Amino acid sequence: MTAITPKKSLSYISGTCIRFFLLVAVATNLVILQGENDPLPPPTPRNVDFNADILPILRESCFQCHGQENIEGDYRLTSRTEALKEGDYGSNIEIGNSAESTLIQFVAHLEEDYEMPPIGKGDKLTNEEIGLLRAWIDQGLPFEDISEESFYFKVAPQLRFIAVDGNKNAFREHYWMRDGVNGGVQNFEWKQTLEGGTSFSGDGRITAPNDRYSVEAEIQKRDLGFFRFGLDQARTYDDPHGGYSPSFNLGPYALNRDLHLDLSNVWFEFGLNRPDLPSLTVGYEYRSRNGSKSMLQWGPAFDAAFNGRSIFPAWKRIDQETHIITLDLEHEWNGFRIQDDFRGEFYSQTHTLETGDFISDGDPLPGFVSTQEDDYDHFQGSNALTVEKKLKPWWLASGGYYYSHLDGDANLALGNFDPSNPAGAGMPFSTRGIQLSSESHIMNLNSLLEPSHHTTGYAGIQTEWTRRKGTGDTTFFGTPTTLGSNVDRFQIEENFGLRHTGIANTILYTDVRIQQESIGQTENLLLDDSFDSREDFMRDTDAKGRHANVELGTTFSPFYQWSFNPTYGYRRRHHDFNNLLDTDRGPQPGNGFPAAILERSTEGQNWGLKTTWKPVRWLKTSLAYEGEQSDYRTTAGTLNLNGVTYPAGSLLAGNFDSHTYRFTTTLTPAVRWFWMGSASYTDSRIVSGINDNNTIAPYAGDLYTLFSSWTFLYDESTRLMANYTFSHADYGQSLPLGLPMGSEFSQHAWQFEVHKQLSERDSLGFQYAYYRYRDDLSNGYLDYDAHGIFITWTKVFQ
Amino acid sequence: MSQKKLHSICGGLITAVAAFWISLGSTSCGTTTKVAIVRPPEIEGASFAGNDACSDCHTPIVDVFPSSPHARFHMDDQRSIGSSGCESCHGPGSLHIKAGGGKGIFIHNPGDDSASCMECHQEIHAKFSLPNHHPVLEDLMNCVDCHDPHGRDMNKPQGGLAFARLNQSCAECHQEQARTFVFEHEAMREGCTECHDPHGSVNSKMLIQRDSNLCLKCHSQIQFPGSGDIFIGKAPHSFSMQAGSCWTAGCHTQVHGSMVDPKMRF
Repeated sequence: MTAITPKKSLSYISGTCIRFFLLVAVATNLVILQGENDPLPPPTPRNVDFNADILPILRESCFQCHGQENIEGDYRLTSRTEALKEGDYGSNIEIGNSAESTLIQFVAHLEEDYEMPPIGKGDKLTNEEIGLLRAWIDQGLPFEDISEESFYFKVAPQLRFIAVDGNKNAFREHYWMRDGVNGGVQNFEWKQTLEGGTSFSGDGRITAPNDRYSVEAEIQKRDLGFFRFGLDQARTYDDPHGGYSPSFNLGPYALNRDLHLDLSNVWFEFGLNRPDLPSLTVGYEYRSRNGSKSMLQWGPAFDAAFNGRSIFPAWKRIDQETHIITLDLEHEWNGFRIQDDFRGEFYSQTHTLETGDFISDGDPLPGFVSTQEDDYDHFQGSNALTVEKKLKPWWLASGGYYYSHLDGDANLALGNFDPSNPAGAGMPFSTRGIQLSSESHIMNLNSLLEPSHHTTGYAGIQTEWTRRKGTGDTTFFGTPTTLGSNVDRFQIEENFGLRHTGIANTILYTDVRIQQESIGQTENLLLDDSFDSREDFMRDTDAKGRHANVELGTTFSPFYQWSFNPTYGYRRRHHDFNNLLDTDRGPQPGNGFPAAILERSTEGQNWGLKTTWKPVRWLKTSLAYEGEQSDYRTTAGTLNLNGVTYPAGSLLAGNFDSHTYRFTTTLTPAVRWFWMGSASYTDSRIVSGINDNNTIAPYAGDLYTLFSSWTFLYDESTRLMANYTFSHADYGQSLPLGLPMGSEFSQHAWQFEVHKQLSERDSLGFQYAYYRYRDDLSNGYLDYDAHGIFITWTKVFQ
Repeated sequence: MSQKKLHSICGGLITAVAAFWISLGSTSCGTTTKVAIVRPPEIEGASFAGNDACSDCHTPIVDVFPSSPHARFHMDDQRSIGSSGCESCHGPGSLHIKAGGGKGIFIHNPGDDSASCMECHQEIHAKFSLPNHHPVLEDLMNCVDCHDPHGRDMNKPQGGLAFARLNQSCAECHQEQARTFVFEHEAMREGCTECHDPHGSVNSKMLIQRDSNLCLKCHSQIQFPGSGDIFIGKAPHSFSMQAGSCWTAGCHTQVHGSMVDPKMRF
């Protein structure tokens, strides 16, 4: 046996130890390195529970795209069978091998561009969550039924009481609601989902009597289609008063009628939205308007000295019906989005305009009432086809074709009756059998370009051709009459626009619209076919139009607290008229107004500047100014009337300008406080070329508006709110001979509300409102003060 | 102003401001409950996701949005997030996305409630508060009945890059006025807004002017010097203009067009 010296022994031991430690170190490092290279967190080392461990992850991060309602990538995670099916990217789960399952690689963000949830649509899963999913797959993908059932119903009954002192009809017209005691459901909302992917939803409101009934409902079956239904009725109110003439101490007169119009529509549509087929929607809608409304075509009233003014109110009975059928198709094919919309409309109306005539001062009834009965119906069919495709990532192109055809007929009957004997009404004059037709072809091509991240541009062109015809072999005031018109209109419209954000904190934009228009128009009216009556005339006019509209501006924010929005707009519309024929046989001055005009143009500009200052998070203020100016010009040819020659030449037919100043402040000094106030002042004026001091003055005046809203959360269940709205117009006119037609009023509305959350599912709202209106031009007739109380209880069932 | 008076005014102001802030503090910070006012289009608990996230599901709308007038205010950077683009009107979208989308699910729809439109369009809110207005604030209509907030042309119904047809939005409800006539009023070719302000007006029927100035800006013509009468077209109008506006006096009552009369009297 070899003797071991102490030195050798020490050397041997140390060498052996070193080798041992080296081996351990290498082995340890290998293990550590192997762990560092494995990008997946290890599976959770325990049995997972589907409901406790897995379902919360699926609900939080997966079902929004791979659940019952949405199926991205043709893949769902709603059952074990669905989870094991292949999606657009093949199989996602290999049972027992979570490391090789693409689902795990996606949620661990190992595949670029396939991160799940997609970046921006949800937070990345934690290592613990990935470990649970790995364990779930490795342990055989245990699944349990996921309940789809849900139910939500909210209803808010409301009781409303409004008392009006003064003109009730004016209040109803201004606020679109009736005074007195009303009640109903301010709104209700219903959502329910059943097993199998069928869902119901609906909402609506009912305010009785008469104000508003509205219900909408939808039944939807996943991957199959939907059925929707709606019913809506609203009532509008009109004040039945006429005008007021202070210089003659006449009026205002009022009709002894409650003028209101019921607007109704009922509709349904059903659609198929199977994933592999074009989306198809078929619909039907019925609309009606029934009732009466006030008109501004007033009848003459006379004072004791037989001085007259047209101030006696007129009204129109309305009876309209429309039936609409629609068929819409939408499909995506090879990157093309194709949409086709057909619409067929059957419309009919019977309207009767009644105007009181010859009202003597102090007489409760007019001398007689003029009537115009206007019957009309048409069928219009139209179809719009649009195709859209992203040709490049930076180029979106679209095009469309629209066709429309209308056939209609009309009758007009004129008459009058003695209001003390309405039964004696007659329609001695009528025109029957007027035929109308209209046809349109519209085509457009459009491009939207985004050549760089900072620049967007678009361009488009649209052509429109329309032919409209009206003919009638009829009677006019008992005389056989031929009448007709034909208008051919062709228009080309070009659009361009540019947005640029390349300059720091700045947006530059411009939008340009240019139109060229060509119109050929003929009109004729021949009484008794002899062309010798006063009303007879024939006209043939060609017109050319050139129009332009330019808008440009910028949003500029050089400092964080400030932004500036200067804007400028220019518009011009110009028509040249070539009057090929303008002849009549009636005694001078005769007919045919338009044929006197050779040129007409409108040229205007608008400009504005809005400055916003937000010095602190809780204060934002803005100051804005908007100016507008328009000139209207006409050029007429020489006219010979009654032996007098009117010279040809141009005229500034009208000039309009307005200036608006607005100041707005939003104050939120604490999370429980909100206050907003907005005040504006507008000064506008229009002067016409005929500025005759006796009969017509410039229509000029001032308008002040103010709106303020305040909200305060008293505690977590109590909210206090207050609103105030004010407007004052001063468009009074003073004319020695003409009828003042201005507008001069002050209107106030205060609303105070307390809203209390009684429990998680119950809340109560109490609102008091005060309305005040003063009209200085109606001799107080339109004034009112109104008080309203609204009590609303909201209940949620879930 | 004496120094004493100045001191008392300054002291009063400082006291008032201090009292105001103390009152705010007592109502906002002095309680343990965390409550805050949530106004449309805010969504309680949600955060902003950006237009790209919306594009995943609402592709056609987001694609055409850069051409919309609303895109004039959209800067695609972190500083502007939430103040322009989709979420400035619809509210922050994170919860909506998490819920898998759906109508009204953690998202504000200005098509049902125009409150978020009025946040910016205060001048329109003022017009809707005038005595003659379309009933948007009354919740009988909403802005998207007449406007497309996403597409190229604000004045057309929903959809794409194409342009509106003249009077298209108005004709949807006002068929009586927009229908075909034998003798049309040529002003209809200029559009309904030539005479009406569709948001609201101080004048009846939402007219932009109530008297004959509305008509005369197109129908004024050179008068024969010294004739003593006002001619419109070939007819003297001095007397009839005293009776009211062109239509009020019972003359040109069919202002949108007539089936039988080129002068639009009936």
